Amino acid sequence: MRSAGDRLPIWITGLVTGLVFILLYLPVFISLLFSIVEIRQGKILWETLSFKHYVTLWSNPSVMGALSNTAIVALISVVVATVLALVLALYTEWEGAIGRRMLELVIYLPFLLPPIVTGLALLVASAELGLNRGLATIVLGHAVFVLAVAYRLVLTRLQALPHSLIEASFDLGAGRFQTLRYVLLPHLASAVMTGAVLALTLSFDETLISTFVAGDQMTLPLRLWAMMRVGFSPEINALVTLVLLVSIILAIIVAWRMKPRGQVEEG
Amino acid sequence: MGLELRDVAKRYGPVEVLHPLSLAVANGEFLTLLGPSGSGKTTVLRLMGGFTEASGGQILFEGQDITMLAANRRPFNTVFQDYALFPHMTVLENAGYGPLVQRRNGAKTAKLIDDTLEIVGLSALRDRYPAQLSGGQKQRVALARAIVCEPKVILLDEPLAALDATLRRQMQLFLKQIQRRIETTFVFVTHDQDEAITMSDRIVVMSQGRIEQVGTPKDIYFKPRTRFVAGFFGDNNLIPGVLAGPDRLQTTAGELLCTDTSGIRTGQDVLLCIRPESLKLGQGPVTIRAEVEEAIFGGAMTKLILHAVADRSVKLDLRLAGGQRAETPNPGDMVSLTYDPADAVVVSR
Repeated sequence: MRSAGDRLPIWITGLVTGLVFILLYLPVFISLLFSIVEIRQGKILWETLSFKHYVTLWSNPSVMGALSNTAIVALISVVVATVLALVLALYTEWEGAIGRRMLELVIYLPFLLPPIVTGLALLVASAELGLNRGLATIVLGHAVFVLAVAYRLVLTRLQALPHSLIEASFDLGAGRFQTLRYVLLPHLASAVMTGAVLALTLSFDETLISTFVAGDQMTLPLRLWAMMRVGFSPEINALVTLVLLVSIILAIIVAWRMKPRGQVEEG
Repeated sequence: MGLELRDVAKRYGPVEVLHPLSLAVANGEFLTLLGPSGSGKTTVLRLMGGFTEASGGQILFEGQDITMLAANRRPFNTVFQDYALFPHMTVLENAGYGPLVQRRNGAKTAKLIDDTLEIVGLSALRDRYPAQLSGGQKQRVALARAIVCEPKVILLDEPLAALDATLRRQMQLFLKQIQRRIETTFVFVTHDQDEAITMSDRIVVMSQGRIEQVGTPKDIYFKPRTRFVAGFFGDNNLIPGVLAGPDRLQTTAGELLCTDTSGIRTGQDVLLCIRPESLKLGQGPVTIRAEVEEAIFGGAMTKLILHAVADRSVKLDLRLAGGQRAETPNPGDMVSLTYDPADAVVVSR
């Protein structure tokens, strides 16, 4: 029999976990609440319950423009970063690779540096190179930023691949491209996908780097910042709720995909 | 003709892992490279397979120089120690990988794959993934995958190392049967002496990057030519002495005889090797007086551990046929031992 004392740690752990969840998700909940009802003098006016602020958002061209920009930037930068990550990981794991350490430093640095430094560096670089700031520079900034994540995931998976599989493929008569197609890519596919989703999440709510390189273009987080400067409207809450929702969904996908799937081997 | 290595060497920087060695493998032969870890046996196999580049020498197949030929262009296939099955492919897809990348398809190839899976007894498991297979089954898939490519030589890198004892014995027999059935050259790497003896047509014993001896299992077992080979198989009796005449040795255990002294000069320091099963109780042309230290009953055989009376440091090992009524000496008994001088061999010390 368990005594009450034995259960105490479980209670405490449960309580702490609950508190953490409340602290983390209460603001989300409040944003959600404020986006669908009005609150006056600390009272929730349930009769005002409506989704009209979401509709307003939908018909707000500047918000929709920012949304489509964010989508374009996220998609292109993720595709670029993922393909680059794959190529670079294959290169650094290749036994004849030279400058492996230098290359890895270059890949990781933009992610490890404070975004403000990365953003500023990109700004200076684009100015020096005479690039017009706009969607292209944002794509570039995001690609550079999320590359590290995609690269790390692909590389880890690649390193987990027993070298004998590649030798076996050659041994059975395959060339380099056949080995890539039939052995390496299937092995890396899920890591590439996970890396892409994670990169998408990062790109979706990236703000600081975007601030420097956006020029006159707006992404959703930038739009949000701009809107908040003029005051807190229910629309902002609607927008925040949407951004959070998308982020959470992507995060759940990543967490689910990164969960190790153990396969039990028979003796 | 077959496969031939001529003065092939391998160096990693200043470290010579394989001293220049020459070796010929006949077509259809089951050749085993046997040696402890670090002896260079796997390096030889990898050189044959094209996974390691030789630092010197030539590799020939059917008279053609294949030293620089890439692994995917050699008519050899390898069964890897860890099986190296593609985890995302089923048994059938694994077996069909060779034909797939070699762009061989059609009914004939499909039948070849089916037949091969049948031979290795995997037809029922064709849709399973490697993770759903046992060690022995994976081993069979790896073998089937190689056989399907119809190679001229199959290279096997310690393929039974990961299996338990019972399965090992089954697979030894199975591999031997398969090899006879498909009439393909097998080059087999192992560190297990029993495995080498039971399976091979010829054995290449290796140590520290050199070939110690090449010969049939019987040769290697009964006629070792080097000290290393003499000590490598089981509990060989090794008695140090000096060769005093064409067939006479002076040892601390007395004067002993040996007919086979080829390659040894009179006056040379030698080891006389007598297999435990060649040593008998009783008197004969040569007699060694010995004291029994222990008698260990082992079912079919009883093992006697003795030492020579003239020199306690000369340990001797003898096998007696078992049987319910067999009389075995007891520890402390003084006995006479003898052997046929034709069954003994000397190696230089």
